[in-house]
Amino acid sequence: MTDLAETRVQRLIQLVAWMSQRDTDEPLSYETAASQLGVDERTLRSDLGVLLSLTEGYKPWLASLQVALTAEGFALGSLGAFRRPLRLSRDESLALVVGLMGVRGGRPLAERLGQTLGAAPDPTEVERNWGLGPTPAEHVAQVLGMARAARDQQRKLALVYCSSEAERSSRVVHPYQVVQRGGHWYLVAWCEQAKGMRHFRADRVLELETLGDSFRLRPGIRPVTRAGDLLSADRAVTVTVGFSPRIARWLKERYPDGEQQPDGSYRVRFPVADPRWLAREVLQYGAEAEVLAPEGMRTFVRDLVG
Amino acid sequence: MLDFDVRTRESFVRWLLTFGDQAEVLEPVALREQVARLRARVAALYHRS
Repeated sequence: MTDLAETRVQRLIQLVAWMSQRDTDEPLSYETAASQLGVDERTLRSDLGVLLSLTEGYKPWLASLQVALTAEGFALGSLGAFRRPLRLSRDESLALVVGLMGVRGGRPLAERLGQTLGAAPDPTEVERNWGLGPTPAEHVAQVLGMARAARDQQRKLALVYCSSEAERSSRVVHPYQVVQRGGHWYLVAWCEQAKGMRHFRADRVLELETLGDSFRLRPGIRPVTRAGDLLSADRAVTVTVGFSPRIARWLKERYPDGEQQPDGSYRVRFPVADPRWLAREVLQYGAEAEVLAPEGMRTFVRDLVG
Repeated sequence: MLDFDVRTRESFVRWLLTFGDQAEVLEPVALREQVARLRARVAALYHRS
């Protein structure tokens, strides 16, 4: 059968494109390549011969073509238009953007990436909804998965929650965000019982159910973008801690908003949503730090060391 | 159960204290006693009125 020039050109283009878009530069056997391309081995060898002859002598339009014959097969690739393009899935783009957002000066790069890659999510959206954090425990991962799905579908959630004061409550919430701050995962939602925005630590969600009811997004809700937003969104308790004169100087540097006392000690007021965090913060200073108020927090710390 | 190479006892004892009643030094006895003394000092802060 006569091998028409047009047929051969098409075959050569297919060969170069296919080889160039493989994820490896490893040589390929003639047998495998012929089978993949649907031609016999003799035709393939002949086509490679044509390509090899094309690379003899410099041709600007072919400068990117590289052909090499080896003992068992051949290697072929093009650095030009046939090369495998940078194609990222949405998840891969998201991972890149989340990673960039987590480092200093990464946001402009994330924005540029978003402009370059169509699949890359908007950095503002990423800031609202995603974050790098510790791998959640199985229960937390389940809560987060349900919360994200409900957020995306605008479905209400019924949850049983254990507050930082160990109070158990049942609520119906409208999920807006799933965020990670300070090592914990939170669901940020409008609470029908509280009639306001609340955040719920995923590990304190005891039970969760997606309801059939949908909800409408409320206008004017500001997304949580900082750890401080989470504290202010919660019923944070103000706790006063006194630091001894011995360590006052260092604490003044760490918490410059405190008050120097006449006896040389230093007092700092903390907005506290998690008493365990406060206890750890205070106990790391041993007997050089003391919770002064409220009494409930003093009892909490006392019980830990008593 | 974990083994630690401790160079600065005071820092280690204070760090251990942040785990509250969830961590305990088993040995050496001297370090165990040091933790107990610090616990007692901290507890005393909260027992005074």
